[in-house]
Amino acid sequence: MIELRECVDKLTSADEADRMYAAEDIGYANQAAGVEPLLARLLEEPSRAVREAIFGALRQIEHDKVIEGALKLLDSDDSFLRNQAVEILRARGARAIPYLDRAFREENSDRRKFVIDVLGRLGDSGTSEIYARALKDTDLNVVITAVESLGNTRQTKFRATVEELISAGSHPMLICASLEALAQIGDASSIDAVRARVGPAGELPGYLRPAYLKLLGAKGRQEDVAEVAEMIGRDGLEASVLNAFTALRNRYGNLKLPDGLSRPLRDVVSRKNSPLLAYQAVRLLGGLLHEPAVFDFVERCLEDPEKSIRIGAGQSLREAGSEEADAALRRRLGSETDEDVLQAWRGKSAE
Amino acid sequence: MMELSTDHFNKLSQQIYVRLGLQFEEKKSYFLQKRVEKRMDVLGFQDPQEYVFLLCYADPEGTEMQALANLITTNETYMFREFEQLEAFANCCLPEVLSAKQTRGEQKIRIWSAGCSSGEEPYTLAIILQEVFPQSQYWDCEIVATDIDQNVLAQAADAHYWWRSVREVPPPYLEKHFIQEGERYTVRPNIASMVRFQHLNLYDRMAMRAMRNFDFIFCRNVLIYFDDASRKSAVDHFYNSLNRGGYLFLGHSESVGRISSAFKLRRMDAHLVYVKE
Repeated sequence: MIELRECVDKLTSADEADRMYAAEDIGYANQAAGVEPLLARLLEEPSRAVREAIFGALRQIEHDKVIEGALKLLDSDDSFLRNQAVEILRARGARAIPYLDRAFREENSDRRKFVIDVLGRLGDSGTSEIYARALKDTDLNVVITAVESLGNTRQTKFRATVEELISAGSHPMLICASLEALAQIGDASSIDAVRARVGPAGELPGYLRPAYLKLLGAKGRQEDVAEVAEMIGRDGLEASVLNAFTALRNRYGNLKLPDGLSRPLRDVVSRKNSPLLAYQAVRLLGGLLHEPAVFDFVERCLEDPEKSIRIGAGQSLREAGSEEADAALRRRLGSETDEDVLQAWRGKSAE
Repeated sequence: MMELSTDHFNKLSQQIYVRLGLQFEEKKSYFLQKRVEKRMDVLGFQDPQEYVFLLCYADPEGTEMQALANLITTNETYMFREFEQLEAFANCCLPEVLSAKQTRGEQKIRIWSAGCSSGEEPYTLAIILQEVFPQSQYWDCEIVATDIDQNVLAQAADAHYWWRSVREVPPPYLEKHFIQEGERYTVRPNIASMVRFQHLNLYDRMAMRAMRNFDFIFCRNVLIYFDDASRKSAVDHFYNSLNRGGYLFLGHSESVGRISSAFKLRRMDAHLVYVKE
């Protein structure tokens, strides 16, 4: 105890390093009596480094006073204090839930939102009741935060409730969050439910399409690839469409791409806005190699200066498994020097 | 074969940055994809979305992140590794610190190579110091090189290296600062004597407190193997170990920003460095 008192005294030392060491020592002492002095110092401490050390110390102390203190910090105007408090509460795990439950019943909607932020890292044991209340909250931000959190933590038991939040009259931000969440916790029937409530991709406002395409990619059926394809020419949807195709291809190895995609996919590769998008496009072109123009294009990609395009082209040709594709790849093998590219073309796993 | 979408790549790279402080450019997506594929094979996952979820939301102890970290980082160490970062040290940071010291009439400079392994980094720093600042022989210059492993420290103190370790040393430096015997290269005594090797565990907070008054700390590609709390603790100690105006160097793709906000980020040529103001 005497040692703790000495450390508490040193929290106000003029020397920054001494204050940091004092905070660290209080943390290692792991006593409830250390919590109040640390919290009090936090509000006056000018040094960012010491404030961080104080939070480090609070994390070390196992007493529930830390949880109570962290909940109070959620009301602070200082975002650093709020964010650190959220991290502390998350780290407490299930022990924090009764305190969070109590905090969620309070009138302060900001605090309720922070409570949901914390729940997002606690898993689903004992949190369902708070989530159920959050989904009926009077503050839209709390509902949206809860929907996002349910998606991130994959609480599939809330699937139907989240589907019901989507309707033509719902706030666009809520619809968007619900679509994103359903991409995690929904299933193929969620897509039917969404279509019934707000219509297919073509009828959705532009700002909802990326989230809807994500849902199609994550939970869609093979035949949904046609709906994704319809969106390929639309402004600003390039990445979302390619992601949806890629997700469907990961889920259905033998996915057949609809006709008419070769030109827009070649355009994505040629524009080279993003190495990853170009890679995705050239990989998708692998499913269209039966078109002579596509084959020639992919073969030319083997000489592209952009490494990711060469990798994708080689993989696409290798997977085609035809004599013509193998010959194209062999012709280029001798002049390729990049080890990553060669490894990808040969199909070896990463070292 | 699975493919990472941009969405998956963004989530994974963000998570790796937050948890390990390592930055991945989109250009490296294939590199990351192959490593993720390996982990997915081990775990029996088919869909990258499952892996993204595991890493982002279901890995509270950081076990999977560590397994991935072991695949995306290289253990190999050699002299003059991350050359461009060393250029920033030699051309910008070191002259700035030396000039400030000369103004104050000080003639002492201290550098700490934390997690020095078999000694390639501290000897590199000694060579740079002597090349950039020949007057260093009249100053009190000390390079303290620490590691937790007594065996590698003993090896480092011997100062003998094979070609692989010196392959990136600029040829004039190789000739000047090494004695070659066949395939073996020995650091010349005038350079070797600038380095003091010391056993130190970066987890040992009391021992860390004794490390004070450094102008530069190099801890490159070491903290990525620490858990979050230990990484934070080590960086806090580095902060206290540095003099004001001192610099912390991590690996070129590592970042302090997510670990501590105590350091200021400063651009030096094309490089970002961390300074204690």
